Amino acid sequence: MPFNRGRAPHERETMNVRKKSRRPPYTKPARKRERKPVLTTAQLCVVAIVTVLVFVGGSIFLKITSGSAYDISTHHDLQLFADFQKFHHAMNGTCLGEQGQVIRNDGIPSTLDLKKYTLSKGVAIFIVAGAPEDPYNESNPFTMQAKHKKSDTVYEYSFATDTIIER
Amino acid sequence: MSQDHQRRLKNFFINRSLQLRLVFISLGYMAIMLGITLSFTLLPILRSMFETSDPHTQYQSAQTFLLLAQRLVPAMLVLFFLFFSHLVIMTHRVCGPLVNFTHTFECMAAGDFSRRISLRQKDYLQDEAEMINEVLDNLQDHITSLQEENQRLMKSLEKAEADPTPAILAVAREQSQRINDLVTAFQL
Repeated sequence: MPFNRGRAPHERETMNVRKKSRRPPYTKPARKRERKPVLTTAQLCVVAIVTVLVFVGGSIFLKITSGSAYDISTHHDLQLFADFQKFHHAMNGTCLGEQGQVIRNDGIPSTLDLKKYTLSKGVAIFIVAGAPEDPYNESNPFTMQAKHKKSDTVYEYSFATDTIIER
Repeated sequence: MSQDHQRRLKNFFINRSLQLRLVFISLGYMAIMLGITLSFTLLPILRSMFETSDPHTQYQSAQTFLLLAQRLVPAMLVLFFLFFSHLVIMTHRVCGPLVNFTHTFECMAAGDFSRRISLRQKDYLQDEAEMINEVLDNLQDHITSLQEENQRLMKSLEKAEADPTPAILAVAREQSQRINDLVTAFQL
């Protein structure tokens, strides 16, 4: 059915095909994209503080506990070496080593060479006083000092007192 | 490959905001996990090192602690570095496609459906990109059909204007119906 049928001539005039160019499709106005900062200052501060705290805390914890572990090893080695010297003196009437000699396991060669005796890694024991034949001499007792290369603590054993003290 | 596209570290951070957030959060969780592991490993040893009176036990614990500390700490640092690298690469492979998606969506918002998403071989989200490309193909087909039908309708109406016979108007109505079918295919 023709769509102009029944319409007045002046109406027919208005039914012309629109010749204007097509309306461009609707597009939303381009939204300005907000650039967020990589990390806000507060977040960056929190991350930095936590990282520093973790690293510093971890380092301090490791340093303290490792230092204690080194000291325990040094103390234990000195006690064992003192027991060994006492046993040797009881069996042979003399101790091993002389004043100034050192047995060590810290990478430097020992001056007291005991082939079947090994200290813990990093420990050095110095004979600092006394004569090996008379270790219990009260005026000049046989004395040994032990130190770990990664610790500042020095332990000393004296035959006169038969105890280990911390220097 | 041009100089600008060489893989440098800054190129790995395509969407720095998202990537750094993901990297920091994941590293934080990893730090917590490593902390728990270290606690469960080292605390019993430390306890026997400090709370036991037997010197031999103390010595054994100290030696074990030193051995573990010497091996676990470097291993932990290496793990951290490896995990960080893995996170940067992984987020790069996710954020790269996302940037491509964003550009395509921006074109779509501007009415341009000709842009397609093309990803690199090792990028993630390949299936999703394929799906979006398929959607764009369909949309483009629909819009092309609409445009063609519209062109035909315009011609028919021009003819009807010159000679408004029932046959021409019937064709125009048919074309209008086809346009209507194409438009109603979209659910709004």
